[in-house]
This record gives sequence, structure tokens and C-alpha cells, in this order.
Amino acid sequence: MIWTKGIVSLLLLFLLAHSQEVYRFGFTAVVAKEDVRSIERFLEYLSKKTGYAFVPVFTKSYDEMSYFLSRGMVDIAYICGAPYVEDKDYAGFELLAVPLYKGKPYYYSYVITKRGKNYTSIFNFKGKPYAFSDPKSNSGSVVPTYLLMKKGYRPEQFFNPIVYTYSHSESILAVYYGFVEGASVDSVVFDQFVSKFPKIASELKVVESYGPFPITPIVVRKSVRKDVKIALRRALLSMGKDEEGKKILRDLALDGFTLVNDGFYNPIRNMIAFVKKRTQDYEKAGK
Amino acid sequence: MKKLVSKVLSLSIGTKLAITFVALVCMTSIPLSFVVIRLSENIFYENIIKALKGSIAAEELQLRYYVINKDYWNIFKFIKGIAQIKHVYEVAVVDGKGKVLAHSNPERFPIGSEYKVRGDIVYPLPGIGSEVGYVILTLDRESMWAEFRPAKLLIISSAVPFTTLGILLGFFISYRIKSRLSKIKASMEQVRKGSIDKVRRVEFLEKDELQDFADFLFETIETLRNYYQNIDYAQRFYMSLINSINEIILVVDEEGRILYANDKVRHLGYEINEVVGLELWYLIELQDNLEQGYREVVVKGKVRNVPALMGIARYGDWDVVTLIDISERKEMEEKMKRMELFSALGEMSANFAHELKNAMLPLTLLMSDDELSKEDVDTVKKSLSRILKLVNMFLRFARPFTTQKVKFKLKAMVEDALSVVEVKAKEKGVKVMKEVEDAEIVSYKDMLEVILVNLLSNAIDAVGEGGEVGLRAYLRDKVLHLEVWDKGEGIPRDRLNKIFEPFYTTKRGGSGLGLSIVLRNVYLLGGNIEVESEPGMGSLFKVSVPLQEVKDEKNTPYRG
Repeated sequence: MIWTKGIVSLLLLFLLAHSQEVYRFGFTAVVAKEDVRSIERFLEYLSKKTGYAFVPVFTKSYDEMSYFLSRGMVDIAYICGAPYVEDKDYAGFELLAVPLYKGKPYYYSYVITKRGKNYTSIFNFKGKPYAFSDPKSNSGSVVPTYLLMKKGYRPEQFFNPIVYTYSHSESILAVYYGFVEGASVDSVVFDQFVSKFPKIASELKVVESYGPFPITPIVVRKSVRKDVKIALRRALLSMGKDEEGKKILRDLALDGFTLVNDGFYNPIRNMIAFVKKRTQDYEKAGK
Repeated sequence: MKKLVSKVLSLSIGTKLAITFVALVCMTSIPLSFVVIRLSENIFYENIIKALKGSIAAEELQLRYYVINKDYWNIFKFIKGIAQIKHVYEVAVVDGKGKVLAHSNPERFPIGSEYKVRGDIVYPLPGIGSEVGYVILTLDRESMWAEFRPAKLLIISSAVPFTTLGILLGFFISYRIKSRLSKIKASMEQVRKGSIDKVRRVEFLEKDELQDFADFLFETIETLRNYYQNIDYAQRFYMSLINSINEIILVVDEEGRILYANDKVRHLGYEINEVVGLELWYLIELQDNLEQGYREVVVKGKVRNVPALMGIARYGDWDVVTLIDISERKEMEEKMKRMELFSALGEMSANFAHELKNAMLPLTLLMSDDELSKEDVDTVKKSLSRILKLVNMFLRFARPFTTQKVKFKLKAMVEDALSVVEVKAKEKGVKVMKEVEDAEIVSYKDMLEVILVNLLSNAIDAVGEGGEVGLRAYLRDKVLHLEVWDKGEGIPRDRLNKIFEPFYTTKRGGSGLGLSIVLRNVYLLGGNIEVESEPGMGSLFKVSVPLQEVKDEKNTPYRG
């Protein structure tokens, strides 16, 4: 009897544990973290579709997220293309799916400033305070650095100073408050911002749009069970096809998800390589 | 300035009080309001500063971390938070060198710009050894005071009604004091006008010192009223007393002007008001000054002159003159004198007969002699001359007394008298001793002679055969002394007071008029007579006659 009881309780425990299988879903600056409601609905949707529970984890930087991923503190994460390129090997994660922005897996790096200001290009912001989001962000750091370096500028000398906000939405606010003259931001986040805060957005304008660049991917730890990965991938890919999923995606300024291979991110790899090389050149030149 | 001060001092109590109240209220409420406002402003300001410092302190550690990391955006977000607090005008976070790390107005003060504003709060962010930066906060005074303005207005508006109330209260109290003083004054005015009986107690709503004062005044007036009533009663009492006296009473001042007269002056035919103001000399003839004491005077009445006894009592500034009408007494005196005259005439008749008899005695004696010697003839002549004189004298009694003063030698007068009694003495063998001063005097010789003759005649009668009588005549201090003594049997003590009565006699054949005539003549001469007698030893008659004080003819009682 006792044995029977023990077996039953163990079985129940297993079932319970299985039904409550929890995965931590990391979010970085690629989404407006302030939009907690949309994130919750996104995770609820996934949970409903996969049967797994998801807990959101937010980090300040991409580095932090990569580190969490490497340590298994986060299982799945929505990160930027640049940290994907740089950290995937050391942190041990792989592409799960990529979102569709205006129907395509591409996005842009916008140069924004306040409406009424005369800037027409990123190169007009010389000597001005300028906002980057995360130093590791593609649209908010790698792209403008690449552009400036291409023209022979070092961004830390070109701007006075570079203000790191670690968030595209906060970069937008920094421009809005006039704390910086301009900022390089993720086009997806900006569009999301425009739809959520049209009043603030009306004060701002996009001066330049660079891209298209490979969009910010959703990555998953390699060590996560294959069935989980399959279930998640299936749920994501079908998200843009049902009404409920569409609604949630609309709030995130996305259209759906698709699959790409690693080579899709080569343009970013090249830019980073250029920046690194150019930096080494500067160091060599003793600048 | 001095003029202003005296002008202010002479303002009415009401005005002064009102001014004092207004000044007091202004001096207290205005500065008080000012102080309260200042104090409230300070408290308000300090509270804001304190709250803001608290807000900074809450994020100090985080902020320090941002500053060290030059995390501009987070610093800015902090500033943004602080800048949204009420009354914050601008906030800056600067590094240790004063360069802007973030400013609430980034367009004016971009990152890296110099910031030299001395804010209301300079909050240091301490590092190790030195400050890593500062939060410099400037307050929006305009909005701060705008918020404080309602409180300020409340203080002022609460002071305004109090000030107004204070001023109104001041005016009211001063008005009350003034009006109450006026009431008291009005009641005192009645006293001044003399209607002390009409003064009524003044009652105020306020039972304070002024009421006490009014009560005190009223009680004083009440006392005065009683006092006056007493005085009035006393005055009427003394007036009736004075007017009931028979004397005329006049009060005169030092210059003799009549100040007061009682209603007895009506006896003189005057009204009181006619007399008051007159000089006393107008009423009374007086040669000398007013001397204290009594004298007889004649008062000039309106109808007739009135003899009066005037008394004067001096009282410093004034004299009290009393006049007693003595006209009745004078009349009585006149009557008395007349009656006296009649009885004297009777006396004189007997007297005359007695004298005549004495004068005729030598003639009767000489009639028995057949032959008359020359000496006898002289005696007869003298006797006849004496009889003639007596007759003349008697005639004179019937008429006004006209004896004149004459100058004569005392010795001659004595000799003349002796010659009358000489025969009688010789007959009885009586020895007449005489001691006469050699002096010349002016007096009524006849009258003195009559005195001496009678006294000597009585003395001779008093002694026995060969007895001894004597006379002394001398002057002492203008007084003539005549003394006649005998060594007869004397006068019994119980008869001494009867000897001067008319018709009293102890002698056979005596008329009883001798001493009466002596007494009369002594009286007429204004003199005095004394008798010393010792039974068995004899008698001494002493007559003294003042030579100067002889009464004037007009004062003699025998005036027609």
C-alpha cells in the first residue's frame, strides 16, 4: 500500500512538473520593455500554443542577456542581430525564428531628431550629444559606428558625447527631451513607439534610414530540448496566421515570424569586422 | 515740532485714545503680519528645500554610480524626475570640475558645458577624498511664491479685519469715554450754575473707574448739598437772630465803607441796600478814628437824629459796629433830672432858710448889745452882705445856675467862711484850729465857701463848751482837699449813712439840711466827700474837689 501510494505521488509529481515546465524568455532593447502588457500577451499566447509556461526576464544590456543565456538563466531570448553574431558561439545559442517587419525579416537603423531641427544626416551631428542604445546594438550602435568609420570618424570623438541609453525607446525619449540632438534607433521599436505614443512621435522626425539589415532574432539555448524548440518554432511561425497572434504582433509592430539561416546575418558580421579592423588600425596609428 | 507736540497734547482724550489705538494696532498688526509672512515664507522655503534634498538623498547612491560611470542618460532621467517636482526651476548634475553631466534644460546647458549657476541647493555627491559631482538645484521662485500667495493673502486678510476691529474698538472706547466724561461734565455744569439740587446720579453701562469717579463726584456733591443746606439753615438762623436783636449791626471795611447792615437800619428810615456801600461817617458824626469800645453818638436818621450807644469790635479786615438806640433812656434821664430839680428846689428852700438863720445869728446876738463897736458894725455889715448873697443865691436856684468860676486865694476863702462861724464859736468858746495852704485857685468860690461854712458850723455844734474844731485846706495834684474835724461825741455807726439825707438831724433847732447842701455842692463841683467818725472821739469830713474837671455849665443838671 505504501509503495502504491509512493508510486502514485511520484507519478503525480512528474505529471505536475511536466505540465508546469517553465522556460525563461529574455527580452532586450529590441522591444519596448515598457510595453509589459504586450509582452505578457505574447508569452501567454506561446504558452497556450505550446503548453509550456514562460517567465519574462529583462536585462539592461545585450551582454547581460548573452551571459544569462550562456549560464542557462534564460532559455529563449529576443535579441539583436549584432549580439547574435558576436555571442552565439560563446553563449551557446542558436536561431529560433526571426520576426517579419512589414512582411520581411529586415529592419532599418533610423537617424532621428526633433521636428524643427535642421539635421538631414547623421554626419550633421558632429560635436553634438547623440544617443546610442546598447553599445552592442546593431541599429543603435554598430550601424552608426560603421557609417562614421567609413567616413573616417571615430564616433566617440565625433559626438560630444555618445549617450548610451541601453534602450531604443529611451533613445527616442532622449531626443524628445532634447537631452541629445539625435539618436540611432531600431525602426521596429520606433514604429512601435509611434503607434503607442503618437503625440511624442509627432515631435520627432526620421532624418535618415539605413538598411535593410537582418532583423533582430529570437534565439534559443542549444541545450533546450528539441521538442520544446519545435513546439515554440511552430507556435511562432503560425502566429502571423491566426487573428489572436496577429493582434499581439501588431502591438509589437511585427507581422509574423519566419526562419532564416545563420548566413542571413553576414551583413552585420561584415560591419562588425570592419569596425573592429578600423579600430585596430586607429590603435596602430596611435590615434 | 514743539508746537505739534503741544497741539497733540491738547487734543481731546477721545482723539488721543483713538490715535493711540490706531497707532498701537498699526504698530503691532502690520509688523506682526510682516513677521508672520516672513516666517511662513522661510518655513515654506525651508520645507521645499528639505523635501527636495530628501528626494535627492533617496537616489543619491544610484546617482553617484551614474556620475562615476558617466551614465548621462540615467543622470538625465534622475534630473527629469527631480525637475518635475513642484517649484523646481532647473536642475543640473555637474562633475567635480563643474561641467554639466545633465541639465533639466539640455538645450541651454548641453552635456559638457560650464555651469556657474549658484542654485538654491548644491547637493554634493561624495566620493572618496573629493566630491564626484554635485546636484545643483534652482527653485522657481515665481511659482513658489505664487503658491505661497494665498497663504500670504490669508495672513494679510486675517490681519485686516483684526486691524479694522482694533481701530473700531479704539474709536468706540474713546467715544464712550468721551461721551461719559461729557455726561459727568454736564452734571458738574449744573453744580456750577448753582442748581445743585438738580444733580442726579450718572449711570453708565460700564462699571469701571469712570463710574467710580462719577459716583464719587455725586457723593461729594451730595455731601456738599447737605453741607449747603446746613449752611443755609445756619445762615437763616443767624440772620433771624441778628435781625431779632434791637441793635443796629453794621459791618464796615477798613476804609469805613458799610459792607453789611441788619434790617434794624429800617428804624433809621433806611432800606438795607441804601446803607450798604455808604461810608460810616455819612451816618455817624465822628471826629476821631474808630476805636474799640463804647461811646455815645448821634446817628443821622432819614427823618430824625437818634442818640445811640455805639460799640465797635475789630476783626482785622472789618469792624462790627453796633448801635443801640438810647433816645428813650435819654428821655428818662431828662425826666429824672427834672424830678431831681424839683426835690432840690424844696431842699434849697429849707436850706436857704437855714442859711438865712445862720447869717442872721450874729445880728440877733448883737441886737442885745446897746452900743456897737466898730468891729460889731463890721460883723453886722458882713452878716447883712451874707444875707444878701444868700438871697441872691436862692434867686439863682430858681433860675439857671450862673455862678462863675473865679480866681481867688484859698486863705481868703477860708477866712470868709470862718468869719461866718466865728461868732458862734466865740459864743461857745470853741477853739478853731486852721491849717491852710497858701495857694491861688480857680473855682466856684461861693460853693466851696458854703461847703466849708456848713462843715465848720456842724463841727462847732458837735463839740461842747470850750471844745476844739479844726480845718485843713490844701492842694494835691490839682485836687483841692478840705478837711474839717471836731473832737465832739462822734456819729454812731448806724447813723453814718443817714447823715446826708435831707432833713435828717440830731440837733435841736437844726434844719437837717447842712450836710445835704454840702453833698449837693460837692456833687456840683464833681468832687467827693468822706466821713470818718469814732463815737466819743470826734468826726472828720474830707472833701476833695478836682479843680480842672469842673463840669461845664451846659452839662450841669440845673440847666433851664
